Amino acid sequence: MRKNLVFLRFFGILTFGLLIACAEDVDCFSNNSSLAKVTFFTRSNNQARNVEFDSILVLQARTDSSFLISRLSSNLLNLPLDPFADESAYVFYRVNRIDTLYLGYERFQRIISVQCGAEQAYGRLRLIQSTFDSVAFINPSVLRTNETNIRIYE
Amino acid sequence: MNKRVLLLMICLLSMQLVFAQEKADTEKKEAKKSTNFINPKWMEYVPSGIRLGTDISRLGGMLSNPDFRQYEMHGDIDFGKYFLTADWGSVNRPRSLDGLSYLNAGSYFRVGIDYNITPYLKEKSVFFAGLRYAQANFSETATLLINSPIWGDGAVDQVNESLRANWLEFTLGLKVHLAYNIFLGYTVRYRANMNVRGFDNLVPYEIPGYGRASETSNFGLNYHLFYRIPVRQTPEPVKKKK
Repeated sequence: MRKNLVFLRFFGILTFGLLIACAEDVDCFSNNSSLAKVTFFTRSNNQARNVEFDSILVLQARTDSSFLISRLSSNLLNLPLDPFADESAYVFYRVNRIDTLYLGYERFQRIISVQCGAEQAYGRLRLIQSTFDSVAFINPSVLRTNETNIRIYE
Repeated sequence: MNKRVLLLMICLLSMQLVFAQEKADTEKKEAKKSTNFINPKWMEYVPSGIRLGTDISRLGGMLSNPDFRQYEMHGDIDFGKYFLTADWGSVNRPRSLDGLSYLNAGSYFRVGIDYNITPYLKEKSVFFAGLRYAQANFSETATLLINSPIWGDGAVDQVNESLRANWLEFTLGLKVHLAYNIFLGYTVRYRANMNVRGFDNLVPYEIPGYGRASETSNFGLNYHLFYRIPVRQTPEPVKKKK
């Protein structure tokens, strides 16, 4: 019985140590983004270029409505992905030119932790339809980094 | 007359043979008994009792949250220094957080072998090391509330209907005799080589009997209360002197 008590004490200390060691380390950081990054390239020389748009119309499948992103001039566009659908459609307005881009993707729901809550990540970007000359997918996962997801060649 | 003498002789001879046979059988039985007493090697591997228990730390978790249901039962049978051990548990854990509603429900089992490191401990107390195979079958339901300044507010529902996870456990623990046939025990688990399958777009968060699905290995601890049902009497163990 005396030996048993020694073991009980030993394990009591071990338990205490383990409880401290196993305390959850909460990290709420997430690298996922809901903005797909698009870069425009000149097809002939494969160089990134600046494109000026009057506006970009974003179609909302869920509410059957749309909204405009106006006056954009950049070689890197951030296209918002619809969090309630598995595809998003965009209409690009320029002087004397209108283009469309239909993107498909998968949404992944992830619980970060009880303390941090949940998030929705976007991945497996793919082209459904486009009027651009060529569309290439560089990174199919949509992240907070500045890495381009889609290259559009004209 | 001769026939009568011959018959009598046959009868006497038969009786002698029967008595001789009975004597031989008795001697054999006694010899067998004495052999058992002298050499009880194989008897060591005959189970001496069944220990049944529950994880009392899980019960404590249920008291703190009335919506939370979690049970774990444990059983072991001794085969000498070895124990065949099995656990079964059930979990139904709803969680409601800011922007998230989550339910994890399912069951799990563990089967394995423990080795009694200290067979000389009295009153069937054991300090053991063991190996387990564990498997969980469960489902997850999550509703995420999305508040987007661009797309508006809405909810996304996702279900993982049939998930299966399996892993290995290396255990170290103690089962100490308290009083009568009641034992108290701890089991420290190192869970490793976990893999989960059957999910689609909802990334599994929690696995019954394992913990966070994002961890491929982790540590766990159980506090067990046992009741031992003795099957046969065994001599008190003696520590061998070197």
